[in-house]
This record gives sequence, structure tokens and C-alpha cells, in this order.
Amino acid sequence: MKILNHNEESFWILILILALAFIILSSLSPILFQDSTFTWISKQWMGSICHTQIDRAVQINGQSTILCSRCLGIYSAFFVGLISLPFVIIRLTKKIKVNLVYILIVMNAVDVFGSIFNQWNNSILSRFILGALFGVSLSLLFTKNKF
Amino acid sequence: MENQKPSYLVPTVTNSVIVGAVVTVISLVGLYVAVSGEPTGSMFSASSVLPVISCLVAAIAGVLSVKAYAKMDGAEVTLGNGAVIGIVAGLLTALTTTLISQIWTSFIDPSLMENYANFIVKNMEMAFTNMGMAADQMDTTLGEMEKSFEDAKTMVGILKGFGWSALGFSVVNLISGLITAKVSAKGDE
Repeated sequence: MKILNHNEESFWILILILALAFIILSSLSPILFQDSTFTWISKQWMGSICHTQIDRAVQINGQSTILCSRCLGIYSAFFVGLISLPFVIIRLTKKIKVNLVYILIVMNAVDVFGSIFNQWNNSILSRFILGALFGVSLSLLFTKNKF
Repeated sequence: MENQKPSYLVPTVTNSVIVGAVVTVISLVGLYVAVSGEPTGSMFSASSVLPVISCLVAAIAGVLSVKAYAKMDGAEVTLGNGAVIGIVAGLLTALTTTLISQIWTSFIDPSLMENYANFIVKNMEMAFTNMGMAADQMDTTLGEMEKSFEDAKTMVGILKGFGWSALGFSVVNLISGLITAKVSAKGDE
């Protein structure tokens, strides 16, 4: 394995940011573009990455996002984290960052199963926050990169 | 002389086919669990958990493929490799799930999709009634839903389904491949 080249890394992190921006824009398309072709396309393909159930989605101006609140939290926090964390100094070792990702995967999984098997009720906000924490933990993996 | 880099195709194909098969099994179990129960009018229930898990499992194809490639002698794990492996893994996972699903629903249990369509339409009818939706709006929405199930059986519908899965799986595996490459690469700390 070789040491990562910073120029190459910056390019691929830009691709990652664009991919996340595409997902967020697609998810917000019913609110931003109403019944457009882009909204229709977004609804079709996003069914393969999320259950896309309206009652578990974020509502803005009476319209629902396509992704559920948890998925929207993951992708939007990952996106915001990626574009803002290079300006923030966070001194965590790689091991801690990776363990943080695992912990948040487990927390989200426990929340999903607890809710499905009626152990507790979670809300759109709580699901969004848990998803967002997971998204931030993913962006922490990239904090050392220079742009 | 520079060492030849190993091909990423073998680990990517292997892992994508395995993940694709697992995703299909989970989805099929989810369908059987759904049709074996009674419609409740709830959009989210215990039977919803399996399709949700299958969405998440699909993102693992990129992770496993990049990890398997990183273990090969002479492999250079870069973010670029991670991205390419992720996209290829996504496409192959979508292809595998489409093929196995079609074989299952066409030859092994042809009644499954019809039963599932009936279940979904009845469940949504109850949900819309609970929500207080107007009768004409409900008829239009349920009619569109039934038509979409019919369209999905045609060759164009199957290809469309593959296309949407390929796009979704490619995007999430691009992300998971990049993350795994970042974590797998040395010299970062």
C-alpha cells in the first residue's frame, strides 16, 4: 500500500463532496423543484438506498424529503463535515475516529431495532440527530486532508 | 522493473456477487414476511426492517471489495482505486440482485410479486383512509401504484429497475469505497 498523494486525495474528496451534494439535492427535490422530471428520477433511484417512507421523512413547507430523516441526517452532516472540518483542528487518532464510526453504527442500529420492535418511540428529530452524528463521525476520518 | 499491480476485478466481482446474493435473500425474506401478514395501514412495521437492512448491506460491497484488494500483494490503495472499485461493486451488486430476483419471481415463485402488490395496495388504502385522504385522490394514487407494479413486470420495467438500482448502489458504494480506501491507506496519521 502506498502513502496517499495529497493532490489525488483532494480530487477524490471533491468527488465525494459532489456525490453527497447530489444525494442531498435529490432528496430535497420535491421541496426545491416540486413535480419536476428531476424529482421523479430522484424518487426512482433513491428507493434503492433508503426505504423513502413519507411518514419518517423531514417535512418542509408541507412537502416531504425523499430520504428518511436518518439518511438525510447522515448525508447532510457528512457533507457539512467534509466542507467545514478542514478548518477545524481535531486531534484524534485514526483508531479513535474509526471506533467512533463503529459506535455510531451500533447506536443507530439499536435505535432502528428498538423502534421497530416497539421498545421505544423515536422522533423525526431524534433519528435525524443520530444519523447526523454518524455523518459527522464519517467526515472526521477525512479531517487531516488539505485542500 | 516495476512490480505489476494486481487487478481489482477478482475481489470486486467475488464480493459484489456475494453481497448481491445476500441483499436479494434479505429482500425476498422481507417480501415473504410482508405477504404472510395482514395489512395494518402503517407505513413502517416489523416487515419493513428487512428491505431497510438490504439497502444498508448493499453499501458493504464497496467496503469488502476495497478491503480484499488492499490485502493483495503489491496492491496500492488510493482514494481513486477506492472510488473505482466502489462504483464497479455497486453496478455488479445491482446486476446480481436483478438477475437473482428475476429468476426467483419468474421461475421459482411467480405469484410472489402479485401477492406483494395486493398487500401493498391494501395496506396503502388503509393508510390513506386513516390519513383522511379524499376518495378520488386515493383512487388515482392506488391506480398509479397498481400500474407501476404491472410495468415492473415488463422487460422495459426490469431494465428500468436495474438502472435505478445501479445508480443508487453505485453512488453509495462510491462513498463507502472512498471511506474504506481512506481508512485502509497507510501514512495518514
